[in-house]
Amino acid sequence: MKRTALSMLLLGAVGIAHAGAVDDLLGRYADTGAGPFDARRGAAFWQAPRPGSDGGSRRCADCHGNDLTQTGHHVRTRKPIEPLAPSANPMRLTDTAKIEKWFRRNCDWTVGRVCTAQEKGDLLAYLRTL
Amino acid sequence: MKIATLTLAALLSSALLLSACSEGRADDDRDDQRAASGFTGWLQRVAHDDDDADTRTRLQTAADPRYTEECGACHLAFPPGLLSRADTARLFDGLDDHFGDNASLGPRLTADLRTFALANAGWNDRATTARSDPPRITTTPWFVREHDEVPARLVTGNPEVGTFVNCTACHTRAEAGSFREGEIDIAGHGRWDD
Repeated sequence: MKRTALSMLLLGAVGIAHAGAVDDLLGRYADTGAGPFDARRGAAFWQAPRPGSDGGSRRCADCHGNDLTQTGHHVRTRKPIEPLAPSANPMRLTDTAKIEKWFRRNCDWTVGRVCTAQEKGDLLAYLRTL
Repeated sequence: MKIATLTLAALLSSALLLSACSEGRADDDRDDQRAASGFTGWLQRVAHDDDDADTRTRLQTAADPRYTEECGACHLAFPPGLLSRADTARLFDGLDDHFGDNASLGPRLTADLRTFALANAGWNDRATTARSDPPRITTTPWFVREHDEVPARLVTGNPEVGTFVNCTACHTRAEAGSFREGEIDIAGHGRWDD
């Protein structure tokens, strides 16, 4: 009984942290004039192939994989990448600094530029549903 | 006569030296109990440094968890001892284009991890200076030497490994900074015994 209560408390805490980080960022993006944010637009952005600087085509799934509840692999080094879906990996989308760091790095590789506040908001709106 | 004797002596010494070298290598390859087998051992030999503890320290990355966290996000957090100081500095000075990836960390963290990596960088320049631009660990003389008997079909031709930079696909304890020969288990192939 005690254990169940503790588990629920812990689950609740994770849920709150999750909502906190994403909501915090969506709020910040909205402050810059972006929004409203749309999960379907985020999904389309996630799936769109784009020309890479090496002449090939690049997609988010190149590293994260097609099923975000599964482990992906870095396209160059083959290093396993933990599932991005919060349902499969509760630590995802819980840290605003980490989210911004990976947007900075990965938008650069995949899209060839920084993502706009609108794009990042749409992506988060999509990813939080997974 | 004198010249012939000298030549013979030189030939004999060379043969003895060669056999000693190959003996040493064979022993080294067989002996997994030694802390410094495989390339760790070779690094020591080229450095004329027999201090196992020192080498193990240099191959450890856990000393700064931020190094493991940041550098280990996209690839193994390579032990800094595997690349020379000059090459390490070059990598840290160009993290915004790190082999085509943006691996930038922000100025403070970059400076801290750069200091950590330089303090633990390879001390034998001949062995740990890359022959590529940008500097790749896989092109340093020690790396090439340690892997020259590994057929391409087991790595680049092996879908479960794919690239020599994927250390953990074969070196089962690479994340702990250990690359002993007895720990090698090539993904999709099995144990390695050369």
